[in-house]
Amino acid sequence: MCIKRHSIQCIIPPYMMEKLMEKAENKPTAFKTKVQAYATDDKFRSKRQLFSKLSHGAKRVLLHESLKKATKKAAVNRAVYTAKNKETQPGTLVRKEGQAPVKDKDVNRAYDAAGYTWDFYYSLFGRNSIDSKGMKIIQTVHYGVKYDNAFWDGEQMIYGDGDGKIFSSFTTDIDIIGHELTHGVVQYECNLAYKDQSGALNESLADVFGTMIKQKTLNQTVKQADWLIGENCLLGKKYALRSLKAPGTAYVNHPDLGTDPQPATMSGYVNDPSDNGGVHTNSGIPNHAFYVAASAIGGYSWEKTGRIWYAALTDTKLVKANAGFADFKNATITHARKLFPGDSSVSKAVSDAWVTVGV
Amino acid sequence: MKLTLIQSGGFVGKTKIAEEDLSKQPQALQQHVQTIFSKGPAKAEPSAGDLNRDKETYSLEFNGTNLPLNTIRMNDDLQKLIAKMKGNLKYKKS
Repeated sequence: MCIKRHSIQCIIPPYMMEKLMEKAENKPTAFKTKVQAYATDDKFRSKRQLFSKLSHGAKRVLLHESLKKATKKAAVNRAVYTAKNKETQPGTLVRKEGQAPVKDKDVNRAYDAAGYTWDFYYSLFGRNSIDSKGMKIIQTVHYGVKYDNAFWDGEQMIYGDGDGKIFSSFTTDIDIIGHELTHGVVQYECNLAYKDQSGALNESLADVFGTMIKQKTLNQTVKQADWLIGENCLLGKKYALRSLKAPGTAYVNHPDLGTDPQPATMSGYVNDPSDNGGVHTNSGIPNHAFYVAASAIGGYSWEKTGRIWYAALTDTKLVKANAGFADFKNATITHARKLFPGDSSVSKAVSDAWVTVGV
Repeated sequence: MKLTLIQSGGFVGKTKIAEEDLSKQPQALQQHVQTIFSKGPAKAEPSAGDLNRDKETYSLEFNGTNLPLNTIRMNDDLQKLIAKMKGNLKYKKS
């Protein structure tokens, strides 16, 4: 069963890999290599628990090198509050920037993931926080009682604990936290209207950047990535909430949720009046376009495809608030040509991806 | 006389519903609901000022008419019934 896989991944059992990672925490380069090996280990991938398995020390090392390079002018500023299971926000401050981890795992997960997200946007695009002006990243955990949702309210992120039966805490997946923070980024850029195709694009951008934030944190190539959203939050080894690789398959015959309704192409586009025109359903189409483009371009998704998608989302001339899928398609093709003028295969891959999904 | 509470949106993007047999409720409450729905449908459009993303929204359905919950002026009894129904919401399978 170990054919075509790196020998280290086959021989070293997961518990030993964890030990090796702990020892390597003081050597960032070696540590990142081990994280990648750990991330591609089938045993963990099948459990879909990689991110939650990383220790605080491990997470700190992943962030340390990049965050310490940030200038005083551009530095992450996080604050995590608890709603103490009431529907209040922001609630009581538990951990602010620079403070040591606390006992509350949800607080630490939200704090760490916001750090990865800030680092992602700053190191790749020079974006200083949600508004690109150093906005404090405010998050509230333990919102409501058994609340099975996470949302962005225009100023901050809010996370529920889940019911413990269908959902675990909404802080358990870095892609969910990256998703919600990206809603903030979109708000300060093209500010896509939250209905119909522009709303589905808004949702898709949150998923696309959420999954890229996870991939960059785990140093995964497009081939190594699982392209799933919410694989820890939705309980059960077989389930995730969304799949960019194969929309409609994230969960199948789930006892409570049924089957993932997302379409991968325009032939499955739905007009669902109950969800602002199906924004969480139709987002599967641009999600899949990103996956197809990134897979064709290869390497790390954030290096080329991510840059193209970011350039499009920040281009308010080409992507207006009421933009549809075709507008975003044109913007991504335009920016693929601008960013990679010497390599027409990149813009062709982007164009082909949109054709694949029927846009 | 079925009254249905519908929760849609949310990060998960799955609809939840809760149903209540209105005929088992007091006559005054039945009348209150019928009065609300006799005015016809109202459509809630997300306003440009509403920056909530992934926040769930609620609507109430009665006799084939669907009204956004935030457009309904409810008396205390209906508010109590809605609070009870929110506690009974179940995912609608797809």
